[in-house]
Amino acid sequence: MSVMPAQSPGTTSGAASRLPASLGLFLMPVSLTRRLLLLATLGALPVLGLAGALLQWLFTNHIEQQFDTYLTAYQQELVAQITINQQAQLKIPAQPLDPRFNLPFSGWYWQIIANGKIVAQSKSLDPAAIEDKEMLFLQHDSRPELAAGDTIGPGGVAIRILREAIRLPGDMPPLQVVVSGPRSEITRQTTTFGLYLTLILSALGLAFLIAMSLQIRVGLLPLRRLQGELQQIRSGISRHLSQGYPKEIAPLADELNAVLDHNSALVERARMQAGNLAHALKTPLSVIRHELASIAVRRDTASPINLEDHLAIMARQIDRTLARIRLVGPDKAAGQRSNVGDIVQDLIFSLKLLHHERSLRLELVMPPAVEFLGDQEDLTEILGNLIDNACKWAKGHVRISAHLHLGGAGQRIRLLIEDDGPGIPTEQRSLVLVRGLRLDETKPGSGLGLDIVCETAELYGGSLKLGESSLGGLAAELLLPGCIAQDEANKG
Amino acid sequence: MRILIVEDHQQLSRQIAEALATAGYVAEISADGEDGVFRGETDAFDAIILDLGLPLLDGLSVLQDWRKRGNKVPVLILTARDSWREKVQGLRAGADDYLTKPFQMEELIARVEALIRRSHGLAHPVLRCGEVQIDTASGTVTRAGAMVVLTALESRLLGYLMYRAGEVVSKSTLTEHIYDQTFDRDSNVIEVMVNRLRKKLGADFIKTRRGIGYVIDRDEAAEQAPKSADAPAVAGQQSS
Repeated sequence: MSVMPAQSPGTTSGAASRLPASLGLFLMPVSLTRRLLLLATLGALPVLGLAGALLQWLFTNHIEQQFDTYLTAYQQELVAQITINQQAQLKIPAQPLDPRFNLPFSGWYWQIIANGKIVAQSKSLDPAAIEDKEMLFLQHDSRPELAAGDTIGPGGVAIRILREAIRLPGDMPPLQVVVSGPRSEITRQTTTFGLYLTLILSALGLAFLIAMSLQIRVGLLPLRRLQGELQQIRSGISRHLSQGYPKEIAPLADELNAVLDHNSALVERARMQAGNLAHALKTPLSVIRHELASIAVRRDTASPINLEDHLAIMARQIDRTLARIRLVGPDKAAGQRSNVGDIVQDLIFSLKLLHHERSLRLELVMPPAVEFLGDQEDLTEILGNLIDNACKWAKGHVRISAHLHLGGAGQRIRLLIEDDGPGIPTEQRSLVLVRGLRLDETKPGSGLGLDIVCETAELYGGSLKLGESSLGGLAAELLLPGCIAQDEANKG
Repeated sequence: MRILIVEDHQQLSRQIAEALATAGYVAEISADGEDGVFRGETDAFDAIILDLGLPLLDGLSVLQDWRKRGNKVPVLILTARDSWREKVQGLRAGADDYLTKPFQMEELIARVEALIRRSHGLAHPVLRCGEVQIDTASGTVTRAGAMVVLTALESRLLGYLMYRAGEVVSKSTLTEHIYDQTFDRDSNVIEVMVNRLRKKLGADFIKTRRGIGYVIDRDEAAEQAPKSADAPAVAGQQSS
C-alpha cells in the first residue's frame, strides 16, 4: 500500500512529460544551431519547391507556345499550297514541307480533312504503316476552331496537334488542316531546363543554409563568451560577467550578475551566521561543562553517561565548523601573496607565550622572501596548528624550515616543521590525518588540527606528509604553491 | 591574589570566580568593556581574565587601553575566538596568555597561576624563602621539609608576601589582595593572621616594618636556582 501512492505521481508526471515529446523533439533539439537550421530548412524547402514548379510551368508554357508557332508555320505553308481550280476542285501538293513529314511514326504529321474524309496527308501517315485504323485521324477534340493540344499519335508517340478549319468560298465544305509534331521536342527542352533548375535551386538552398549557419554561429558568439565568462567565475578567476553584451543578451548578463551577487551575499551571510552561532555556543558550552564538573564534585560521583565526552564532541564539532568557515581557499585568494616569514614570526611570538612554561627552543631556518601564493589567514591556520602541535609534543626543540621545492608542476615551497618529541609510529601516521582523530587524549587540543591542515593544503593543490625528523620526533612536511621573491633572493 | 574577571556572561564569570576562590584567589567580576578598563586601571590586580566579545568596548581595545597607559598587569584572554590570526592579534596586543572556550577550569586556574608567577619573574611553581617553601600550584607549604597546615587565608597571605620577597607590603594592600570586597576589613585581622603564621613558620620569618608594613627577606640561594634554569630558555628562544 505504501508503494502505490508513491508510484502514481511518478506515472502521471511521466505521461505529462511524454505528452509534448513530439513537439519537444522539434523544439528542444540538442543544439540551438541545429534547431535554427532545421527551421530554416523546413521554411526554405517548400518555397524553393514552389518557385521551381512555377518556373518549370512557365517555361513549359513558353516552349509549347514556341512549338505551336512552329507548327502554325507548317500549317500556313500547307494552306498556302492549297489551290482551287475553276471546277472548284482542291489541288493539294503531294510532298511539301520538311522531310521529317515523310518518316512514319516520327510524330511529324499533317492531314487535310474535308467532310470527314481525309483529302490529303503526309507520307509519315502512310496507311500501310498504320495498323490501328482508329488512329487514322489526327484529332484531339471535336472543336472545329483553331486549337492546339496533346494526344497520342500512331505508334503510341505523344504528339502535339494544331488544327485549323479553313472556310472555302462558295458552298464548298470547310477544310480541316491538321499539323502535328512529336511532344518529345518539347519535353527534351523542358527536361533539360528542369535539370538545370533543380541544380540551381539546390545550390541556392545549400548556399542559403551555409549562410544561415554562419549567421547563427556569429549570432551565438556572445553566448559562447557568456559561457567562457561563467566558467571563469566558477573557477574563481573573476567575480562578475563583463559589460558590453549585445542588447538581447545584456539583460541576461545583468540578471546573472545580480544572481551571482545575491548568491555570494547569501553564502557570506550563511557563513557569518554559522560563525556567530558556533561562537555563541562556546560560552554556554563552557558553563555547562563547569556546572557538570561542580555537580560531580558535590555528589562525589561522575555522571552516569559521560556527558563530558559529549560536550567534548560538541566542542570539537564547533571548532571544525569554524575552521571550515574560516577557510578562504585558493579561489577567493587568487593572486594573493603572503610572506611566510612574517607569519611564522608572529606564530613563534605567540607560541612562546602560550607554551611559556615549557621553555622551548623555536628555531626558524628560512630565506627572507619566501612567499605563499594564497591567503595569509589560511597559512596562519595551517602553520599555527602544525607548530602548536610540534610545541605540545616537543621535549625542547622545534624547528621550522622552508625551501623552494624543485620538480613537479608549478612553483612550490616546502615547509618543514620538526620537533624532538616522541613522534608518531609509521603505521599510525595516516590515521592522524583522518578527521577528528586524536592519538593521545591526554594532550590538550581538539584533535582536529592535522586533518584540517591536510584539507587546506590539498585545497591549494599542496600536500601534508608526516615523517621522522632528524631531531628525533615528528616531521610535518608541507608542500604549497609558493615562491621565493626574485629581487629579495638576489640580494641574499 | 586578586583576579579581575572581565566577562559579560554572568554564569560563566560566576563559575570562574567560584573556582578561583576555591583555589585561594580573590576574584572580582566586571561585565562590560568600559567598566573593565576602569577597574583594571584603578584597582590593583595580580592578573586579569579578559573576554574579547564584550559589550560597550571590545576586549582587544580594553587590553590596548591598559597597555597604552603602561599597565603591565598579566592578562589572560579567555575567548571563543579560536583562529590563529585572532590568537596572534590578542597576544601582539599585549596579552600574556590565550585560552579558548570551551575550556577546562583546571587549565584556566593553572594558567592564571603560572601567569602570576611569571609576572614575578619566577619560572617554577615552588617559592622558597629560607627553610619555608610554598608550592603555588598545589598550595602546600613546608618548613624544613615538614608539611605545615595553613588556612586558605593564611596561605594566600603567605603566598602574596613570598611572591614579593624583599618588598615591604602595607597592611591595606594585603587586605585588598586577600579579602574580597564584601569582607569586613578590620586591620586587626591581618595582624592576628601574621602572628599565627609566625607561630607556624618561625618568629622572625615575617618581619614588621613599623608604620609601613610586612616583609619576608629574599633568599639569595633560592633566587639563584630559578634564574639559572630560566637563562638557557630565554637564550634558546631567540629564533634565527
